[in-house]
Amino acid sequence: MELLQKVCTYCWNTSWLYGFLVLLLTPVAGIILTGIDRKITARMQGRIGPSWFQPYYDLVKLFSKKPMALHRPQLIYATLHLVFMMAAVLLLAQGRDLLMILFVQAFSVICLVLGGMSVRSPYSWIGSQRKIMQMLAVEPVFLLMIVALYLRDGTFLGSDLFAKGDPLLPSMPLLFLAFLCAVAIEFEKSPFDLASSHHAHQEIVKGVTLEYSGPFLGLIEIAHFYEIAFFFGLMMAFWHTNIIIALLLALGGLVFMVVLDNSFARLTPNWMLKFMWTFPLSMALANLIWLWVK
Amino acid sequence: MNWIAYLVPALILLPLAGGLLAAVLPGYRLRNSMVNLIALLIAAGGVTTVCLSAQSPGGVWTLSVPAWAAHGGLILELLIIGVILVISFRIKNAWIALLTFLQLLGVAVTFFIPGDHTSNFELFRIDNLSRIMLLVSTLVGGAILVFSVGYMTRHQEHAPEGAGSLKRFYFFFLSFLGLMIGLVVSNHLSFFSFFWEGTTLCSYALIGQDGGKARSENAVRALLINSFGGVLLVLGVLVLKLQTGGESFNELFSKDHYTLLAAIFLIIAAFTKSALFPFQSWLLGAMVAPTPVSAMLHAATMVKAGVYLVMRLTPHYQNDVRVTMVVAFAGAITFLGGALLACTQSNGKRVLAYSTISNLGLVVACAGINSPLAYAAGLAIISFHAISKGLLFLCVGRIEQQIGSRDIEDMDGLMFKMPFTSLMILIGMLSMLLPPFGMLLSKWLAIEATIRSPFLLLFMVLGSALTVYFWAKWIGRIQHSGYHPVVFKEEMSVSMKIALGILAVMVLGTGLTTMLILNKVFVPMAESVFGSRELLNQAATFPALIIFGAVAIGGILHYFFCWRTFKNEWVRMPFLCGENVTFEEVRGDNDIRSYDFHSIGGKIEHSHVTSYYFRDVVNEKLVTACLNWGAWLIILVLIGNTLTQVR
Amino acid sequence: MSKAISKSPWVVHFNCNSCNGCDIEFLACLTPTYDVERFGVLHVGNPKHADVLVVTGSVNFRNRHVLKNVYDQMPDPKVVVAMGVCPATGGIFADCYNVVGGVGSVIPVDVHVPGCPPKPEAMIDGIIEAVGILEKKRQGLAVDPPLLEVQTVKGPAPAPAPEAETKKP
Repeated sequence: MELLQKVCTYCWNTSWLYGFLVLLLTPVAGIILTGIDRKITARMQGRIGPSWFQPYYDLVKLFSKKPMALHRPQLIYATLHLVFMMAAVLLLAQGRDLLMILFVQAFSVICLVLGGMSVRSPYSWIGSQRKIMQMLAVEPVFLLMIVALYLRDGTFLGSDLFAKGDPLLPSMPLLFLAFLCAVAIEFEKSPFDLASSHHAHQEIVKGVTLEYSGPFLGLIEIAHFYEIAFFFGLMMAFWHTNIIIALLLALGGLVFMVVLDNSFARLTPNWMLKFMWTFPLSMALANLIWLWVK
Repeated sequence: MNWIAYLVPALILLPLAGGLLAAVLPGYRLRNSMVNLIALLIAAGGVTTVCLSAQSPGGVWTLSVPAWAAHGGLILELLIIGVILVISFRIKNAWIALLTFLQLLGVAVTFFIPGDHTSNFELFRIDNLSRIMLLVSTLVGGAILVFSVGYMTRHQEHAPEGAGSLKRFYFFFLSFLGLMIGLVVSNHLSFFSFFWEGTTLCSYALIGQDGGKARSENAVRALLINSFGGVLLVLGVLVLKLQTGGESFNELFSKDHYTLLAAIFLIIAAFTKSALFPFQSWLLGAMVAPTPVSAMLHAATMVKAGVYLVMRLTPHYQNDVRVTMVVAFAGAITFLGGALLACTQSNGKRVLAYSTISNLGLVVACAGINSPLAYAAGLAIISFHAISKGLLFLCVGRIEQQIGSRDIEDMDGLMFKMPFTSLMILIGMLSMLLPPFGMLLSKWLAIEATIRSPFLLLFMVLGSALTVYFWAKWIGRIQHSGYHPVVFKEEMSVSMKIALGILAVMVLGTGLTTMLILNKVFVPMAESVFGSRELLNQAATFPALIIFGAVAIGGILHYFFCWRTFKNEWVRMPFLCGENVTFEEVRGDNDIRSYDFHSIGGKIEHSHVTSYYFRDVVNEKLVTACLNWGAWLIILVLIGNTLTQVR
Repeated sequence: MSKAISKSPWVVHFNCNSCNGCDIEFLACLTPTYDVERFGVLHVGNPKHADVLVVTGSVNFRNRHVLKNVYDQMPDPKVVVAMGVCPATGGIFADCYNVVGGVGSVIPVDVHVPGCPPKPEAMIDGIIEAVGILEKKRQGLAVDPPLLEVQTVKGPAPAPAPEAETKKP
């Protein structure tokens, strides 16, 4: 019993147990958020919609299907996508260097892209091309956001950042808007749902995830849950001093994205790139300069 | 340790002597084994020199020689400028003749300026920066030499009409390496100029190696631009001697505004060598050379000489922030421009060239920021980039030899056709963007170091996003392959295999220990240069363990649950709306680039989806023109800014 | 947990040779009035993600291999629902020179939904029926039904043979 207690204390102190718990609970959060997303979408369209736990049923179903693939390298990338996304979430939870966390997250997306490109399927190929265009559109905004955080608080470490007293939103409102646009791209919401869509009938079918099926699609779904929780956490970080306001803020961001999703048509990748590199980027830069001058 | 004093000259003379020997040795077998031997000796000698010189007091090893030895440097310099002058007359190019004549004039004037011609001076000086450059040149250069043995033998069989002989090639190729080694260790500027001009001459000869109109035009362009740099170099030395009476780097670092002017001339000369915008065109033209030459130019020699010079100079001008910041902008515009143009290229070698230019720009930007963190990032980029880029160039050369094209679209599905080379090139490209590897970490450091300058940061951020774009596209194309599990066996010569293997092991080794190298090597170096210890509490917390652990656990699980249990009955055709053509139906058809499908009447149609190259948005010529204009502007600002400081 | 597959049947819809009547009715199921997403049904556009293949229309010589390919590209366990009369017997097209017959002659059909076109309620009913079979198949309690004989009133007219055409480049 004493030994057990010792082990528990050790795990708690070295934050491994904590990390494990985070990795376990994050997909649950992702499932709940996706469920909320689908329910809101359905209600906006005047439907009853699926059950709240529909993403969970979908996931379990995917793992109960027989595996199917085109070749082996394709599957490696699905695993890597998940692994790097999990690493990014874990690093964020541990409060490491935010810039590096975003690089890890970006590489996770690159793995998905490479998986989509590794198969000889035109839809998957075009989806991957668009996915890297999306990365090109969002990366500068994310990086500028982290840099702005540094200019404000003088640290890149998440843990130091969250130890600081005052919330971020009042000093970086423009960056929050730019960040919302970037997250909408990462979540594949209209008008940016170019690489892969949650809805059927698109011109490149399912895009980058098309050639994955069964359990391997399940891996990608889990990674997507992690990703949703990851960005939800980042949105919450804009008001980190009060958990309730933070939750409301992030939920507000999510609802905004769902409304966006339902009220826009899909536009072209080039439009997305031009849009992101003009309005959100200049907003982010303006906010950055403002912090720099101060 | 005394015999390092013999080792360093031996290291310089060995490739030069080898080059002469290669020019006279009959028979290719003897020559090939000699080249292999020299590669081995250079690598061993380089490592030994680095180890021995590091044990000198203060970590700096110097060799002082009597004053008369400076005349030797002068004679060598005049000799090599004379050779270039003769060449300019032979190719009837008035501009090169004019520039070379100006150099000659400058050197002569410098000689007659009264100065300190009596006391001893430091001929060689090996400090941390030189050690890094020595390692890069000797190890990567050695691997490229070994590769060239296998490559050039086959290259010569299919060489175009009018190509130079292998004797000529090895003469210049080996000399190139020797001159580069001399360049990074010499401390006296007349010797430095000799080695500098020597690499210019060698690159001219090697770019024109295969003969033909286009190649000689590109070679002439390289010579022209580098002669322009040579004039600036001579001008810088002239100003320096006029002011201080000395001609070595030590005088350059005495705090004086005129030495700043001299340093700025040297830095602009370095821009030409490193092919920064607006001087990038010669490096792009240099792609017509045989691949080992390109690899040598990009990874081990030539362009690295330029950034070496910048890295050497800027830390000594920390008080002139207004000037070095302009240098940083010149680098940053190149970083962004190179990355942007690399996205628009489908020619593999041009993508590599633009990526090199972009990374050199990043090094110069780091040097210009002039903080310990940025300096460490610059050192890291120089070394990691050299290894990765060497590997990538050699792989592309090998692929080109095999499939007869250097177009990325033609490298479709190479993973299954050339498994070994594809694996190597994948390692090289992944090392450019995978988190624990050096390039990404250096980029991360660079961004963290740029933090105080938002506009510079914008360049960095955009450039870094674009970098990911073109690498990801290329990796995707290489492993883009069908559902048939056929893997071909690859035939290649032993020397190529060894060279690629060595470089890949170096990439992986440095990749796994990046954090260790950064913290134990580059950061102390930067601290010793800047004399401050205020940095890198950030980088020390890089979570390498978590990433490695995650990849290891994921890899093991994947191996047991996926890779091992993989069955052929899992394999299905890709989704083509059900109109798939089975593999049996196209077996006779070699055009596997296309997606085959049944069209009307059961006819088999081919289609092809290319990558997106921004051709409809970015016009390469226009963008180049704009960037060149901007870069010229920055250079003018740089000179004007310095002149106002001097006044 | 074991019922998950019956709570999230993803459907791919294949229009084989249909007059589009059934297709319009089937898409009506997705509308707010009928809202199949209540049952977790998602209309995915491709067979690789699907559990249920919904076929409308009869099979002809040109698209029988397409139907077969789409069916083969679905991961197991999977079910097929034939919507309407045409995929059951060939319907009013059964006598056409190019028509093979019902879908059951190419792939095993688990559920037939009668009607020309069936009402959306009937279609939803058919899918729910199929979902039960899907769950049984997952547990190994049900197998694919045998392929049907090609049943046409008169022999098919000589169709353009795809094999002969493929020899041309």
